[in-house]
Amino acid sequence: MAKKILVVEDDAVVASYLSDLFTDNGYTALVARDAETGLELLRSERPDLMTLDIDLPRSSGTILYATMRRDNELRDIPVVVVSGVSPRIKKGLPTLSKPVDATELLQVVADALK
Amino acid sequence: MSKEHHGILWIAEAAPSVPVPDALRDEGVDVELAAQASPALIPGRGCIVFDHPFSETAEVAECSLRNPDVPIVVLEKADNRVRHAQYLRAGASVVLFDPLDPEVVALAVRSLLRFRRPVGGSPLQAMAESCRDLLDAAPCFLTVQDRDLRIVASNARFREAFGPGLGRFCHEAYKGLKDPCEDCPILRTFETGASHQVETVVTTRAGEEMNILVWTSPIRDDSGRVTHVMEMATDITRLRKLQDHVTSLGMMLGSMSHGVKGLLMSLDAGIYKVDSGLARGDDDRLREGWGLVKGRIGHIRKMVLDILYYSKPRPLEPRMVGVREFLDELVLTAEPRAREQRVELALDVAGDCGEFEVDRHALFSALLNFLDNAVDACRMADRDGEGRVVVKAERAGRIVSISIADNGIGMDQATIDKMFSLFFSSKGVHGTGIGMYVADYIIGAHNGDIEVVSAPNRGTTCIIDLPAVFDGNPPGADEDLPDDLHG
Repeated sequence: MAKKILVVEDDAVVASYLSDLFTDNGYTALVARDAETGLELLRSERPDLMTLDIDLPRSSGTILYATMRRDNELRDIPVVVVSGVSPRIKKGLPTLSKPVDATELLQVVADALK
Repeated sequence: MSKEHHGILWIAEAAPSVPVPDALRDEGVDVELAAQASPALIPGRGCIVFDHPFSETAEVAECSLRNPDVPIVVLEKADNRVRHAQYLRAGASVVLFDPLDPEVVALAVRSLLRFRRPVGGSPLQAMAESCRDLLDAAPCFLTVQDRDLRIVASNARFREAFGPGLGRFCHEAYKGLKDPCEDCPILRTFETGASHQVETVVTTRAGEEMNILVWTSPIRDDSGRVTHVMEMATDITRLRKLQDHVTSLGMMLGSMSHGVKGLLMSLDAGIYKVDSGLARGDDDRLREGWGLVKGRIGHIRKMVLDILYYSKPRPLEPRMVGVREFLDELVLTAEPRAREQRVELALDVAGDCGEFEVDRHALFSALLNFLDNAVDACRMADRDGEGRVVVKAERAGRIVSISIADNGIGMDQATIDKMFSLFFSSKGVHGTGIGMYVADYIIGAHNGDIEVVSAPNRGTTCIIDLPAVFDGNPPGADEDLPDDLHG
């Protein structure tokens, strides 16, 4: 069965891009345009991986990350940060800086899903 | 470097009464004519000639006191013969009375030039004289100050820019201040015996501001005690202007980078759609992608042009804006910060001020600068909750007058003179020195006026007058830009 990826990204064009990219490469993609929706979809859909933008409206991606890590049911879902805002949230957390290279992103996602 | 004599200073109200100066010049002696005995002209001279001195013996006495090693010749009118002894007591070496024999006068002067009184033991004077040429040639301002911060020696460059130095307080000569500067590096050198460095802004006697870098150096007497401090100041105005321009470019680019990253990413999205659309023969996706790509490229193009033309600030875009509504938003924006500093913000709009034609964004940022500074002034004065900033507006015919008054720390005249300089900030590490410069530029571009009333510890009021109908730089024109901002 195809792995499910949750894309948390507020920019419509970038969200659609990532969604297309993943779908074209054999994954199923879901999109959340803000942190609140992201958390909801994490809980209801239990994706296999989440890509996370940091600069989100109303609430930052960092807070979403912290929240999911405190939830026992969600903490083990692998996360790949895809963001224009630089500092790493956490050592060891895969982080790609915008604009991302599609091949690199697919590779990092594939590695995280192993 | 020491010279036996440095020529003659011949002081005569009109012309010399004997043709001796020319004769001496023919012999290769340097003779300078002056109408009065300016203290600056005297140190290091081989001889001074008072040709029929205007004010009796006082001038001679003064000159002799200040320069005990410079011999003086007095040429006097016959009926002042009674003053002979007085002149000699005052310090003259030779007194000659009318009728003057040019040959005798020349002989007297020449003999004094050969005979040099020994310099009084001060190492300062010996050094100053023997280095005089070197100091005058140096591409910087050089002064020597005593413990009272009075200038006892200065080089020619300093005198050119700031006027005669001798006897003046350095803080008065450089900045027009009655008191020593805060962090005076000279006082620190007196204290520590070490060199100190400071950057500051001064005003030349022509009224121009200058950014200077100051180095101080102790001068010791034989017992090792620091008796004087030498100050060397270099003009770094151009350097700072350039540096500030580069910094502001950097700031602009920094704030743009996030937007650029998003832009490039969506360009990638478009490209991806085009590629995959082509690969699958999916026309819809291809078209969608191409539309995205074109749009994003247009956006990038605008951004690149903006960056290219950054050195010419964007021309103003004036629109009709409601005065009250504009100021409401201004105060609302400044409120959170004011609250943090426990400073009260109040808005007082007299009657109906109607609308004015301004570039909203530019004027907003300019006035916000004034407002933030007013809040800071209250914070710096430690008003402890009593800090208050009042924004007033009134309309007098074609002028909208906005004033921002605070009860904060206030400014002295020297600070007021510099407040709109590009690199000057009283806020130390908290100030960039850019805000007021840009605010001043923006108001000027609207053909507005700024008046500042302030006194130390008495608060500050800034009054900004703007024409209600825009008559500043028309959009698109940038001939009036400050020279240093042209691309």
